Amino acid sequence: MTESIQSVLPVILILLPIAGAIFIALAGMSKLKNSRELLALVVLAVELAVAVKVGITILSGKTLIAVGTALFVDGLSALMILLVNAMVVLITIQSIKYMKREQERGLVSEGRLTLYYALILLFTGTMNWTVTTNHMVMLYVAMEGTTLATALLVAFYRRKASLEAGYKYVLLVVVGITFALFGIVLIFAAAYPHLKVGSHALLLTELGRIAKLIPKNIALLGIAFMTVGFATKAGLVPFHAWLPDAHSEAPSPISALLSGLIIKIGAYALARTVTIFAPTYHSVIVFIAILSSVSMLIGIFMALVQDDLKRMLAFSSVSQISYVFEGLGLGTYLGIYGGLFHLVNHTLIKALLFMSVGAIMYATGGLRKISQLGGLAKKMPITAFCFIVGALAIGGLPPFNGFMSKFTIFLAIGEEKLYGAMAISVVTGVLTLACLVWAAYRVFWRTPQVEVRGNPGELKEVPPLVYASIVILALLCIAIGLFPQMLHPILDSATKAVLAIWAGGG
Amino acid sequence: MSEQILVTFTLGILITSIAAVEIRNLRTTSIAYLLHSIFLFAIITSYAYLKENDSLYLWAGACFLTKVIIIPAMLFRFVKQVPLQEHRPFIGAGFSIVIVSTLMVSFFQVFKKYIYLLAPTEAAQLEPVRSLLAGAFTIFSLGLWALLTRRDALKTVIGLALLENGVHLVLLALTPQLRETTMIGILTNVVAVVFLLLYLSTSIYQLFGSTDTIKLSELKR
Repeated sequence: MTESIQSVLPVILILLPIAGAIFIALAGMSKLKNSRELLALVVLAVELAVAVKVGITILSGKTLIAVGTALFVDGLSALMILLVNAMVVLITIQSIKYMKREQERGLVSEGRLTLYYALILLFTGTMNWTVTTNHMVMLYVAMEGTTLATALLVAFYRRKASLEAGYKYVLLVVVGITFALFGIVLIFAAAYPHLKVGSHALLLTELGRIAKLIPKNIALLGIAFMTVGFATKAGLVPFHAWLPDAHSEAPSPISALLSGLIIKIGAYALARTVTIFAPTYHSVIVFIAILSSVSMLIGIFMALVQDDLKRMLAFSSVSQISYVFEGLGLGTYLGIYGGLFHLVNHTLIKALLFMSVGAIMYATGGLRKISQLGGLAKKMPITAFCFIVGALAIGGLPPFNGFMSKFTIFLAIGEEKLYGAMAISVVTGVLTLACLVWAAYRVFWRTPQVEVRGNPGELKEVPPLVYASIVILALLCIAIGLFPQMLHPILDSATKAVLAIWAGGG
Repeated sequence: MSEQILVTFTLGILITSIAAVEIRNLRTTSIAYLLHSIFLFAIITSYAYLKENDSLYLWAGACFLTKVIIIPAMLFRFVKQVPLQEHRPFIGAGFSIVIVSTLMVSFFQVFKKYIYLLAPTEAAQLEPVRSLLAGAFTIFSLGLWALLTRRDALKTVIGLALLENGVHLVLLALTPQLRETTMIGILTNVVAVVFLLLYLSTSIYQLFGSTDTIKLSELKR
């Protein structure tokens, strides 16, 4: 059993960005509004430093608890905390120039820009809460908090399409998450007789012990409801209707945040709850394998027919998050490890690709249809390089990071003898590679289309502040592909944390 | 106070739920939803009294503030800004009332009869929890029905609110020992969700000139 120590760090991770959000919102009305970007970045940099400190503590074999046992950080939480806080910093760096340009184009007002940074900080706080809460019902509350914090970011441009996307996003995700709450309540109620006297909450860390004690019919009903809810948040088919709209209509850095982080919440919640039941009920493994297989195939077919780059990437996310679900749903060491590995890789790659599209839109004055683009590689070599790295990585081509995680998942599926699911995963991987590389070719190397040819003088590589984040992400994709062992300690710790809960050790 | 009152309130909440979904005039619909919320508050209060659980009074208070005052106020405010008549739903009025009433009565009876499949403990299979749970599952189903068959933005929001209230009743029936802070967290979320949806619907109405969710087709590919 690992040593648990009381710590204030999880509380800081949650409250500091929320306080920052309030401060920025208030400062927006004063002279301080010109410093909002800097303020946001400072808060997020402190958050990242805290996240690194948490990561180091967890890797030394300890777990953190705070507010009694209401907050809990183990290997899985630490992995998510590091990922979330690092990504938010990179996304905010790109936002500074990108959103300034949107303001110059008259798409965003001064006041809304303040709201933008306040909401990013609010999201960071709720996201950190989601991945550190130990209360099962609070997991729902925090998850819904992330949806609410990002809803206005999705509808940010207040155009017909973005308002529609925001409406669909809130409605569908909330309906899905309500199903998850229903499932959580059923499990909680069934578990209650087995909890300590006077318990007011079902702790996620107790779920492993409880999973074997509650009636099968209630457990399966609860799992089905939770899976529907978490799959909606993650955007799996057939619960994905919100995802392509929200991803494509939000500002590009927010698309990176949605695809990189928001949909991962569904996967995290799955790992925390449903995965714990998988070893007890084999039907759960089969159910999730079928759901994931259908989702990954339909997702990539839909991606192949898109002309809008952001919608194409969004449908690709529907497909890729299914790999994560498939791995986590297996409930084995290799499956969970592969699922979490792909969760990390997909976050890096998809944020890279969405922010690259952001760079393209920045340079071309908002063009994002493949049919309108072409020949950008000569003018934008850095963006072109980063995009092709992302395309090859998400396609699962060695030696990029996507190959490593997908291959781990293939092995895990094979280990469970789910050969049908394995075949679908491999075919989807090939289609993904074709889809993304074909898109990259048309955007960067094909003869420039009329829209791009129209302004050759203006077209140039984006400023360093816009490409800095994507270069870092591209380098990370290559580095993790070449040296996958560098992530092993944290992935191993996260996987063992899930298995420890399953074994009842918490 | 006898357990019979709780069962009566449960029937009251079912009838007002059906009314909130079926009535075509949006102001009357909002009034029906308000009555539904009052029944919800009455159920929680009487349950607190029956179970001698003082912490449930705080739930009831939070429920009163959010579901009886804030959410209906937001609905009435929204109704003032849009046409009063609901957009024609997918299923005609008379037919829909017959279907939904029959379905709900049968759902209630089926849920009550086979509650052992859904109730996780033996205590939950006894009255009045049995009726409360059957009512909760029925309201949840009704919310889903509204979400699937209504086109009007307000009706969609009411459908979602019913879905949430169904789960709220399940929480009450099965996990009354839940901490008040958790319940307040859940209720705050519900208020924020309704606010956001109505805010977005109002903005959409100002741009589209319609609260018909089916006309939200800009992004359909």
